[in-house]
Amino acid sequence: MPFRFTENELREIDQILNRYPDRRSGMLPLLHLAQEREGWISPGVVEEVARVLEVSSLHVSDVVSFYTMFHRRPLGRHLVSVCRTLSCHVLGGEEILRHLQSRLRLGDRETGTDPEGLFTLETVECLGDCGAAPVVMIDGTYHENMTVKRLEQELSKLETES
Amino acid sequence: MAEFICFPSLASENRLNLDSYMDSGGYGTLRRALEEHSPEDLVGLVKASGLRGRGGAGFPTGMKWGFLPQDGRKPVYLVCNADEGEPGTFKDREILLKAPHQLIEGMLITARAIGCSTAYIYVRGEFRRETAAVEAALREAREAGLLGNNILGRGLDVEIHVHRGAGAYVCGEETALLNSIEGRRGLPRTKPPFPAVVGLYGCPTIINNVETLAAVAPIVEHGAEWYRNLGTSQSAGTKLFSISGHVARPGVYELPLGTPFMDFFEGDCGGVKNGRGLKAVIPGGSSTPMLDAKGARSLELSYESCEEHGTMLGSGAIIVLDESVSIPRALQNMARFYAHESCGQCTPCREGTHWIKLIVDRIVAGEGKKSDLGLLLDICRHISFRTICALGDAAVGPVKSAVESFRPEFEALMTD
Repeated sequence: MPFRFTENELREIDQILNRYPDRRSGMLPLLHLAQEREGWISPGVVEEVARVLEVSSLHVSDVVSFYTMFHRRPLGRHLVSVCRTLSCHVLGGEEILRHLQSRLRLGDRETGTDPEGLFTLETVECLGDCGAAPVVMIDGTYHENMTVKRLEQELSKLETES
Repeated sequence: MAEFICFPSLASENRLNLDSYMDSGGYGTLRRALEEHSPEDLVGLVKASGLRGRGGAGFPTGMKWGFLPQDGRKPVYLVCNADEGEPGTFKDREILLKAPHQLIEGMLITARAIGCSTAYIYVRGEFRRETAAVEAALREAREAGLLGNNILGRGLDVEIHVHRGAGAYVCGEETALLNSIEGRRGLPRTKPPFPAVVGLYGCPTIINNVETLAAVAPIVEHGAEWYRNLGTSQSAGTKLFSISGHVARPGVYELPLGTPFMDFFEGDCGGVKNGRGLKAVIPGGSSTPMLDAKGARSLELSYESCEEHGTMLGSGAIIVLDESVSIPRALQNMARFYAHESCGQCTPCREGTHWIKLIVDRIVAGEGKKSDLGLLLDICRHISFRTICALGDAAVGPVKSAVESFRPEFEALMTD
């Protein structure tokens, strides 16, 4: 599906590109910008970023595949990212992960989207907030000292809103 | 008790805005640096202070600055590494959130010292709040004439831009970070040439950690001797420590280097959470070899004491593991991390981290053989010093130390 940056976005992109002596440095900023609106890095986004930066779409795909924050598939309406690195792991991150896997009825899958397309579960590595472990990120916002109970409250809120 | 010495703003709850930072003397050091010191003076001062890189490698900061070519043929870039990703580390985010002006002031003084007019702060992509705090501070500084042309009327021209990462541990490695800014995959570069000579866009580049750059203003303010005297002979000054895991009061603390670990751990941090026994301590982030309780008891938090204990101070990220933790399972967790984060560029690391993970997985599953421990150590030998960047060595640290210090725990899981 085609993706085009809006006039406003293109103005913002001009400002972004001004920060660098090389147009190509706009790669990560533009991908972030596109994903914020589109929700994922669709093939259309890849084409558009390549067009604006004047590089091949193969180069853009290559970069996208390297960084875990860029999603190459559409997600559910909300993204739940569970840290599974050591400090979170020993303080209950594992239990949270197992709870989410069964709540989202993922079956054998470790991560993925629930049948309703409401929540996508992903695991992430250290989020740099280990003093408040376990940490869960919901739609990019950190939630600290998480428990299954508190997580449930957050998810129910999002369910009611939708 | 620990108190904030070089980073007083960390004691507050919120971001110190420009006005409050100015009220407490903020940017006064920059003014003095511009009025009273030549760039060479500033480099000399930081060299004399003994400041070492606080991101993990501990390389002397002034010496790094001194590697820049002096021919002035190409622009010099300064890059602040705010990619904080070493497992257990969460100190730089405190500076980004609460003391961004101290970072900016340190970067401006550094820019003066190294003759740079464009600087970037590479913030890990997940740090959205931190990015917003830094961007707000940069806006305030720009409006107050502290960024841009002719700063403080002293002919200093510096622009600072934020560049967001997108989720890759290896981008904390300085040359991978440069590739990431250049819009490429974050693959580490072969060195030499070092970034001080060929860095960002092929130009001379200095890359320093957030904490390192934020320490520059207090050092210039109070002098090299003052800073050096805060620490030990080989570990000058103070350092931020992030402590997490099974600890009663986790958090970020500033300590004079050389502080005995147990004084800090039992005093400031309240010891092990829930009064359990101490099993292991990882002193400097998951890449640094773990110590058993006995080793931890005699540890001082300095570069030299960590080295004497066969480990490293790293980023000062202390992870505490209590007696309920299975070390093979903890290692399984770390082995997965490194296998996942290896960029795949060097065969020893790509293959080695993967096989370490598979072998530790099978040991934990109760399907290991006694020979597996020798095999793990053998793989470690084939990774160490055989890769472009330090990620391979980082992956080896936990494996060797876990197997060597906690061998019986692994053997108890073996079938033969």
